[in-house]
Amino acid sequence: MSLWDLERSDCIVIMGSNMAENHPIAFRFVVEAKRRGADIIHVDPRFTRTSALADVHAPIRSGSDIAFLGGIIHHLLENDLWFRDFALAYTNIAHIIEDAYADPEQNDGLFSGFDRTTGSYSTESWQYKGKHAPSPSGDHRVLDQANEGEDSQSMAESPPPEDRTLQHPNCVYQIMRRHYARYTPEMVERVTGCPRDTFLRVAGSLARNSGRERTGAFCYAVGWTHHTTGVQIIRAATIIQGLLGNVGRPGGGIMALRGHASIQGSTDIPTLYNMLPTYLPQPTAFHRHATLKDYLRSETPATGWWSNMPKYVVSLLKAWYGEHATAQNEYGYQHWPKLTGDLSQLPMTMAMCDGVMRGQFILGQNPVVGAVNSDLVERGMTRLKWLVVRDFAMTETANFWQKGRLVQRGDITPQDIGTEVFFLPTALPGEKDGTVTNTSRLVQWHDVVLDAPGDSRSDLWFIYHLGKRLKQLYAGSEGSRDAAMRALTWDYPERGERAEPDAEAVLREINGYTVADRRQVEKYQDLKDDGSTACGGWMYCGVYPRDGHNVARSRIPDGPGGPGSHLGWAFAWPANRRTLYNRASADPDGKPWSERKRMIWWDEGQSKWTGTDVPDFVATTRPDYRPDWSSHPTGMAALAGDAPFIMEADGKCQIFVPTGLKDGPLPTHYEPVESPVGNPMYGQQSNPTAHVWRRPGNDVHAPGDGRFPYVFTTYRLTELHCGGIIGRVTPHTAELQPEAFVEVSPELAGELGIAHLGWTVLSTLRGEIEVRAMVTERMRPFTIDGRIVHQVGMPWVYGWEGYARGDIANVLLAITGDANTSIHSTKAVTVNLRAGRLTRPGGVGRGQ
Amino acid sequence: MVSEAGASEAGISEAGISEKGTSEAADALRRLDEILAQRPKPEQHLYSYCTERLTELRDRMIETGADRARLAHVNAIISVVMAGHFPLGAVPWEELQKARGWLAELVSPSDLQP
Repeated sequence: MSLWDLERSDCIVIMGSNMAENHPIAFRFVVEAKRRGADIIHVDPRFTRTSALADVHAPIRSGSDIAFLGGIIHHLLENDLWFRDFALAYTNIAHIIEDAYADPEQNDGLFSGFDRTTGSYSTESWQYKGKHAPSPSGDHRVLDQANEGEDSQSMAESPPPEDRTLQHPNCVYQIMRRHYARYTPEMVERVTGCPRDTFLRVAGSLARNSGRERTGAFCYAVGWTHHTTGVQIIRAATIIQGLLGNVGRPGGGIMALRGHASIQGSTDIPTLYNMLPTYLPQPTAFHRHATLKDYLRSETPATGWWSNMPKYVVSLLKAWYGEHATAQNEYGYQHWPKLTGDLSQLPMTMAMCDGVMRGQFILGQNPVVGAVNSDLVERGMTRLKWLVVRDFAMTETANFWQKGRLVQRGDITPQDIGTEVFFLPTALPGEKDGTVTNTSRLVQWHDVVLDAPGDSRSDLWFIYHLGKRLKQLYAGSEGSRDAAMRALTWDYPERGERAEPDAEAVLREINGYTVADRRQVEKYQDLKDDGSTACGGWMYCGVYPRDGHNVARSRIPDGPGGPGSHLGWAFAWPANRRTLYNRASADPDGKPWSERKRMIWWDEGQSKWTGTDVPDFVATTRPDYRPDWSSHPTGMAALAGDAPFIMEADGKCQIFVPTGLKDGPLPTHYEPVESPVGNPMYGQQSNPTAHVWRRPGNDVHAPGDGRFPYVFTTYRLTELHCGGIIGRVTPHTAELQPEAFVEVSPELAGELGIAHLGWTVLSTLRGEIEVRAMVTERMRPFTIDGRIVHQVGMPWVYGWEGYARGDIANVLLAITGDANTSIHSTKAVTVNLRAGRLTRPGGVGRGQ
Repeated sequence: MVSEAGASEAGISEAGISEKGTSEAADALRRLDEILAQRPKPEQHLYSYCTERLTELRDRMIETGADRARLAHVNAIISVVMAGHFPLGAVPWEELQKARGWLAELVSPSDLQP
């Protein structure tokens, strides 16, 4: 959904986010929704400025989100409050799952297929009966030989078995009822600490504001993702929205609050190790990816829109390798590195400590502050031969060798650190051309306002000129290892004395073009898998459809009384579509669910889909189209005219996920890896597939470890943007949040003898820090499973640089990761807290 | 590449690694054998020890200008050990077993004596 579509919501649940402070621009649409009468709900451990503007603040203990959301699912199912016409038609709620499926209800917290020796699942028993449903994207599925994608052909033989009476014991509906049976309001209170009545108010509001006439939305940020169950928390919201019909409709959806520093864009055209541009899976070494043919056969689903994947892959290869990409050499496929393992940030931090990396580039990051287990990050950086840091002001990462915690503590001296550090100044956003892609997939162009001072250069300039030099370096090489660099197209025009590469040329390449006459491709439907088109990111097709027409520059809003989709404002991928899966805004017959909530509908006169947004469906596929299964249809021919979720193999919203998750087909409450309490739900304490990398310096607290009795969470501050440095070096913002602090409830402060603004020490097995206390009723004690559990919280955006300083919160955190994404855990760990100060070399406490 | 004399000073063997290097390789091999013996769930620190020894060997080979093919050989072993340490899905045991064979080629039997 679009950010501005939030104003059409009748109920907005903000959870895992302090939206008012950290996404203030987006929050204006929440305020507008409230003005129009929407219920605004904030579910969060703290009472924040977001809570202050909400109708309901539901406090929950950090890490108990799935218990809360599972409780809502239970409430909807058991009180028959779900939008039956929508969910029965558009989700897999009626699909029948394999007989071998067993639920955590039967296995005390584990799904069928769990191998206790390896700590991983096989997904065979989670499949639709007699089928193998492929994951819509290969990057998160369980990768083993048994799960190669070739048998997705079964989806072209017949539709998955269903029981629309919902009586079959293994249909998704019945499985879900059993799975969530214990997520009662009483259990929700017991696990989360949220009072039963407050919880019921939230569930009731969501249910009341859904259906044909009304819609609701969830907004979340890293308060959901930064857990070892992060993906499953989001999945739980997906189930709620699927049940309530809040997907693909005006004011309905799940808004992932991103957008800081073009985070969305850096996922689309990724800096992620396991994805190629626009969500194509990176090939891997240990699977059937040895040749392009094998890779495409293994990764291309037989049915649904992703069946077009070969066109996108071959066009990407042509964009990268140009004339060196031919059918004879697999379009340069062998130039692509094949993954051998998890190369995300957490494993790479440990690999750095083990001496694997000889050098590292840091762009747009400050990992000494922003990455978890800061001391371990510093230790890793001492092992590097060289480190390049690009930023607009000095960061902790760039001067760890001089001012770092290890040096301050006397563990190491600068003379002992062999890392050669290069600090290069960067241009700020106003000092460069380019785009920012926000959380609505909205690609917005911005022009340079003035040149960056001195030697400061844009990141594009740096990468481009580094690439040029590398190409020159390898130009004479005959080694196959250097072939990719030699073949790479790197021909962007340069401008001005600084030889700034033309950012629009990069965007034109991302959009795509025909190889023969270098004409811009207008839409991704025109891409081919025969080498005749080149495209740097298929979902961005249309952002630059003709020479001289950069759609991302467009700034034409709808006027008052207009449709409100603002199709003239910039470009939203794909196809300038504002709401994904918007076929679901019409009923199975193609009519709007209601006039109030109309968006897309079937126009019988014109025999096509039309409406206020760009339809997310084959424009001329009728609502009553049904696949001819006797012909073994593939691609979109295998999806019925009432199957809106076209990226899925059967066009249905996956309430139950047969393939694509490593930790279960349904969200299940597990305690965080570090928790002061046992799991009240199951014998299984924590996510059995979570990444827990035990090593010296990364010790993890056992559940209930009395030395670390308090739940600890971290967050940002409005005034100190991103990793903090931009606000800390700016006097105006630094003076608003001048020093690091920990928020402590008056009750806990009283118990520990902590005074407001008094010094405290926070400690874990990873490290300890000292900060002043903010004693505040924004933090409340929770009653969990019959006993009081205290929670404390701290902004993670401080460091030793700038005017506003303080100890680094992430010193306290362990490196643990979500099973699906390896994202770190920053929101729910355990700590000890005491009044007082640290004893440090040279005196007591910092600055003495 | 280092000169012939330089190579001699660094103790580079015919295999392209120094005597010190073969001892690192031998140590890494011992760790890898322990990993394989503890299949399916070896202690994680064994991977770190193994990787440390291998990266020391690699760095020594770079410093002494060892043969590129040999260097690629060692890099491949590092990649596979890391794949076991940080797997994308199932641990690639077959490949780890193969990597053990590649590593053994760098080690003389005498280096494996306790």
